[in-house]
Amino acid sequence: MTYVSVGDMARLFQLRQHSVDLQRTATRLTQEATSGQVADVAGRVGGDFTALAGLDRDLSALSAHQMAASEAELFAGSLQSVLGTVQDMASDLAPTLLSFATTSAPTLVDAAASDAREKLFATVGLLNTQVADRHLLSGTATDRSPLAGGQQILDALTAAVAGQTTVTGADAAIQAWFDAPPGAGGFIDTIYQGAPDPLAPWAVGQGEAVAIDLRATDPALRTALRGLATAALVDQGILAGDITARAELTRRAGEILTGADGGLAALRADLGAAEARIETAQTRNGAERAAVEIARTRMLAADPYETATALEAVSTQIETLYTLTARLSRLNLSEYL
Amino acid sequence: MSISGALANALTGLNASARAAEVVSSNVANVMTQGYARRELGLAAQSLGGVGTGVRVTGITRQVDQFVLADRRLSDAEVASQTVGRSFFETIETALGQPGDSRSLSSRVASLESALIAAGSRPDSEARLQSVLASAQDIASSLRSLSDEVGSARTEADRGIAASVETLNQSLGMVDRLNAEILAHRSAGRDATALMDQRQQVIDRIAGIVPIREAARANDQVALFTTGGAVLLEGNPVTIGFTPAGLVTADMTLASGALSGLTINGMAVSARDDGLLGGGSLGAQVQVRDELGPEVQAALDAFARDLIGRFEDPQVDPTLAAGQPGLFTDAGAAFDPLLETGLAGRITLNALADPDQGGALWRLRDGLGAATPGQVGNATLLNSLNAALTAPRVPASGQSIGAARSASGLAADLLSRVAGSRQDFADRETFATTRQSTLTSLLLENGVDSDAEMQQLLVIEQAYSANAKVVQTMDELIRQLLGM
Repeated sequence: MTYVSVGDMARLFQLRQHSVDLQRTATRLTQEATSGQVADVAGRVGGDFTALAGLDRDLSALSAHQMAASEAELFAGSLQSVLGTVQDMASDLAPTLLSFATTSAPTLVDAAASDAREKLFATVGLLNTQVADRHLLSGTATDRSPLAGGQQILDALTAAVAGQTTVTGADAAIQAWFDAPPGAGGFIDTIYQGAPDPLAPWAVGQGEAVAIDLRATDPALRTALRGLATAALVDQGILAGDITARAELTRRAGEILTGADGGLAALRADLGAAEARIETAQTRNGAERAAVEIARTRMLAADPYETATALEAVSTQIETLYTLTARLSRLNLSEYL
Repeated sequence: MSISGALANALTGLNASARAAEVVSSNVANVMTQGYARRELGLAAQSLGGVGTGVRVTGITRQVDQFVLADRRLSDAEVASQTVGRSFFETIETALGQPGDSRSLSSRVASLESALIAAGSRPDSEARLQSVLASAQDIASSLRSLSDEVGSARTEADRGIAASVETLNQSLGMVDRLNAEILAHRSAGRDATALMDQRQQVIDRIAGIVPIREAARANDQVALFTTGGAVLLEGNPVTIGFTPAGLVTADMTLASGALSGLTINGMAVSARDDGLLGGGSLGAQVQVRDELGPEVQAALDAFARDLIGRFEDPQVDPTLAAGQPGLFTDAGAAFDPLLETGLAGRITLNALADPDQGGALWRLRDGLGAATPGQVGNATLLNSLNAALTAPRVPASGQSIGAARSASGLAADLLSRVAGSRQDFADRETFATTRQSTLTSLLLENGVDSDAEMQQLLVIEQAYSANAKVVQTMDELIRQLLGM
């Protein structure tokens, strides 16, 4: 006789399968609920990690750009204050020097020339400033100070104007020395110690670079130094004995300094524009960072409400399974025989 | 005469009941045994010269649904095959790492980009140049360890093939011996069902390795064939041949002769997954060793080639002479297109930039071909290195759709490829596993049902007591006769 019967092992096998499945689901849901992120990232992105990897790469690049931007901000800010102080010193001294005429008293001229000498040394010191162990105006040679020193300038100039007896001659000689091209033995060769190449632009944002290529050889700075040096040379003792020529030369120095003011203002304006660009880039970086983080979270987030609900359902199912297992195991003919 | 006939009939009935009880007890004892087929007693009415003479036990049969068994064996092979593929890709995917993980390949490429940006802002900082060097070294070591993973996966597959072939040969030998024993038992009239249980279990073991079909032959013998068409056992078992290769490296392939193929009785057969011996775990392991592994290796090599090529360009680093290696090298030398296989396992950082190998950090800033350090604030080369790393470039080799990608994009593509393959295999594995569970369930339903056996025992009890009553009554009748 053929029976239609169901083997015992079949039920055991099925119950065990269900139990394993439910336990696995419960574990996954618990992990998602506690971490807030899906357990199977590959499943969520459909096996295509391009977008997720792109977002992560953007986040790490943004951090680097932020760092570069804040360093650029520090550099530009320090440079701005250096140029400001130089400009102030020049514009303080210029009116005094301009007031001299050929009839001015020699003592006043000497006093002004001495003041100019102090201001020249101070300006050279400012231009040699280091910020965060980096010289601001040396170009790529940030480990060397850009200018050799105030006294060296005066010594070199003294040699350059030796033999000049007229104001125009001395002025022309001083100008020729300051404006000498590289290789002619003038300012750029003997006093400037930095590199001929400017600093590379700072990468402050994605595809955005801010360049500050100011070196101590800039014409506006040289003009300011020339003005101060011309007056300081009077203190050094050129055109000795010729009181009117000395007064005239000091007045000439005042004219140069007034002319330099315009150039310095232009430099500061350019630098201000660069600072503004850096600040804009920093703001943009901050906003972009927030947006990328939101996008990334949204891509991988596990909805806590759904996860909690599903976890509740699975717990109920597991309990039901346990009850069933207990009941069915008692449903046995041998219990009743 | 008829009284003794009745007595004889009753005795056959008692005997049949006793045999039935024995079968029931055997079933109940084996209710938890894996691979035990429920026994049923065959009974037939006995007749001698047209007169009924009681009941005859025709034999004990095993209740196995052969069709469900055959399907389940095929699904076993399918599950084993997909599992091998899935776990291979899972290993590679774990080694590659997901984008959020700082040790993943794509994160390391992103770290190099960030380090270059930071160094470009302060080229005079030795710490930043050191972090550029460290990031680049991390990428190279990632690629080398990935290449090692692929190599060891292939070595494992080769070893797995050897083990499978060994198991296969042994199992075929065992089935052949069991065939012979079953024949001997049947000829002697003894019960061979336990041996048939054993034979079924051995064949189940073979079924995971290669998908097989079992064909019944006369006298309870079996013949075995693979679904690919090869004969495994027909009268005599075949011998599968394979030589393990020991350590498998990237350049060793089946075509180069460094790796062994499969032979049946000395005749070479295709070792592909769709060949004579394919479709089970054996075919899948051959696929990992000969197709999937080399494909992943080629993808890694293409990535390494692209990375090396980005920096080996005199337009990126003007101090490099033509033919001189750039930041990344092929074990110290420039890239050679003929030696692309295994490149990912040999990629290293140029020693000229590494202080631990006699180089100097300033070469990262001033150029690998520079003889002396240049200006400390010079960020030109660092910026151009970053531009080279992020520039979209069409990869020179490997499977690509011809789109220009940055280095981090290529790393993401690599991960997506591996993850996609893993998901394919996982999906197929899930489907095959579900099918396997269903068929196993169906097969187990045919197994021992203790309730049915208990019911049967009630009937047997009744039958036995009825037959015993008949014996008693016959005995009474004879006594009455004798007492007359």
